[in-house]
Amino acid sequence: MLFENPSIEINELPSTEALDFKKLDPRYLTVKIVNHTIFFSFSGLGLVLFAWLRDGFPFNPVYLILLGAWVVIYLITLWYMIKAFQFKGYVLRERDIIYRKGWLWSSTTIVPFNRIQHCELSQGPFEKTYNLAKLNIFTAGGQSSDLRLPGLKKEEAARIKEFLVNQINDHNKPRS
Amino acid sequence: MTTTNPEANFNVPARQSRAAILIFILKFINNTFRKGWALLVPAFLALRKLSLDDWQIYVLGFVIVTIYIVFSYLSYQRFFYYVLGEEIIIEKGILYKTKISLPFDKVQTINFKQNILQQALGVLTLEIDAAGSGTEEISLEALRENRAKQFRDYILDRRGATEQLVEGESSPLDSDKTEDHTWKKRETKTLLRLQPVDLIKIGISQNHLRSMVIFAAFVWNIYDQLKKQLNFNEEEKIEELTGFIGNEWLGRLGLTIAIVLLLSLIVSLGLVFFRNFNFRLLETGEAIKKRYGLFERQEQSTTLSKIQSVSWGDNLIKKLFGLFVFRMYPAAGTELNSKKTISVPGCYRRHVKTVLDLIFGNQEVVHYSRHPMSRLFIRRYLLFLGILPAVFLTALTCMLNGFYGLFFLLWIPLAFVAVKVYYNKWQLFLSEDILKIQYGLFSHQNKMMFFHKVQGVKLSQSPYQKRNRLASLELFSAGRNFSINYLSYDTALQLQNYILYKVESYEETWM
Repeated sequence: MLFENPSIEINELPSTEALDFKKLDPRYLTVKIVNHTIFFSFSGLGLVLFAWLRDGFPFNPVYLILLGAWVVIYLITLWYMIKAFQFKGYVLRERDIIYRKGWLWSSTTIVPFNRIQHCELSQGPFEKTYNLAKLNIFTAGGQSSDLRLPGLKKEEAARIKEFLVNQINDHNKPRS
Repeated sequence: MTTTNPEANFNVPARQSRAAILIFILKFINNTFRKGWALLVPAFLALRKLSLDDWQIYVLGFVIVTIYIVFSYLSYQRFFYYVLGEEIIIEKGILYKTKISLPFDKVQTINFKQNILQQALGVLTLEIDAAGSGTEEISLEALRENRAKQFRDYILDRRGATEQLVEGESSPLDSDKTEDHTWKKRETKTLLRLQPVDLIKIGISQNHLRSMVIFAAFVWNIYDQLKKQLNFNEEEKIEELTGFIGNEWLGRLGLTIAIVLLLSLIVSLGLVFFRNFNFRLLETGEAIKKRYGLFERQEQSTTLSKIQSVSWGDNLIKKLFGLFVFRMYPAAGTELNSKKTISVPGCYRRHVKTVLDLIFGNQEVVHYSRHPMSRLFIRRYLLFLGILPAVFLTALTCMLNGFYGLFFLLWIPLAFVAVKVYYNKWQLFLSEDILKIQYGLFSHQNKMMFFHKVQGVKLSQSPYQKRNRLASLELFSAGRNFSINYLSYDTALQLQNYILYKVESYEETWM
């Protein structure tokens, strides 16, 4: 029991459990895999270059072990990324927006509309080719409470943004 | 300058007081030493190599002084402040001209500062802090005192008709004195005032560990230098110095610790005393103001509605005196800025109660329900802080030194007591509008906030938490974040839903 003498029925409040989360665009997973692979291949390449410049071609076994470890880390993180992707999702409710993520470590972040300061769209280079966008929602609570909603179709992201901006303006209007 | 209608005063670009020239000179000199000290030393050495005549040195000195004066005069001449529409505008710069504009509604806190020079010149620094992305902080370093107060009142007046501030301070007794300033309600209440005795208590109960470490390094350094300089024969001389203790090493250590303790005590006593001399916390209408300082008189103020959360707590020594440190966290823009935190270095329980009643409403009539954290906390922390390290250390030392290592097993009951104490102290208090968390191991700490100040909520679960149906709840606010771990998942979810309901149905603004 949350309160000893509540003035409202707490169990009847809208719950964030068992909501119908909308999944992210599957093409965003491709973007993530590409980004991930690029990062790992560049840093792996750096390692190879370093080893080559130091000892010449027959690599020192230490570097081979390091490189092997690098590949294993790459594969594990990639696997986790793919596995976790299906758990990412968002819901727009009447008065707030919810973003859920995580497979083993999961989290749900909720920002009420009347606490949003502003929002903006951003697009990485690969997201552009797939016509995807990321919606960034900023509150006054600092970086940790800002909501970053990736993997939206650009039109969809723009639509949500417009909806949110309208909500903010409605809230700021003097009430009669 | 006793105009009661400030409207006319601030719409025209105005310069600061002429005292600004002097203040700018000192600031430039200060900046040269602070930022350019790395250059000054080689420059000085180069000058010495040139072996200048006396008159050449005087000419050089004259040129440098002239440059400083000219620059300061120009900075004064080119510095304007005024109000245009809904914004405060600052124009400044000699070569690079900058124009800062700050909308009234972005103004967070307005602070006064006054150092000795400013006191002598009758001017003070007005600092205006802003919130939100991409805004700046304005600081006017040489405003005449009454002009500064008028400007502050003007800004606060324009920002919101409800947020009224009072310039003069008066005790509750003469608050009914009618004064000529009819354009605002004035009533100042002293919430707390620290007497010299309180300051001494605060100084004694300060956390000395930090200053101790610095001093220890300092003392050891001097000792080391002395040893080298005087060619100390350690064994003999030290024995002479600390002859009263048989074991020379122990004696040296004891002496050092005693000196360090005494020195750090004296220094923190002095610092606390001068920094917080005549410390007062005042309530003026909708605002809270803090005034303090002997050499540098400072003032910090914020409106009640800007305060996002508060915290208070003691430590082992403060507990003996019945003292608490109290902090208020106003909305601070993007990152929590400790400069904006209004902290009271020490006060008594009745003071804490007064301020809490002011911010959160009469606490005697608020009913709180208590919630402990999950008992699994004890098991987990005993394992990770007690059993695992103890077993590891025991095994290690047994291998190296034999059975002495078994002493490390004593760590386990100690850790158990500590974990149990922390578990018992940790309490979550919930009323219909307020959340309060109590925690601490040796001390008692509390933090408290209104539900409607929450900006966002995050509920998270690790695999361990999932297995045990636990969850962590993080509440983000513009002042300080609250994070609650080891709640049962159902409680966390319920609390989250309730907070969302409170925030989303709260019609007024959160600051």
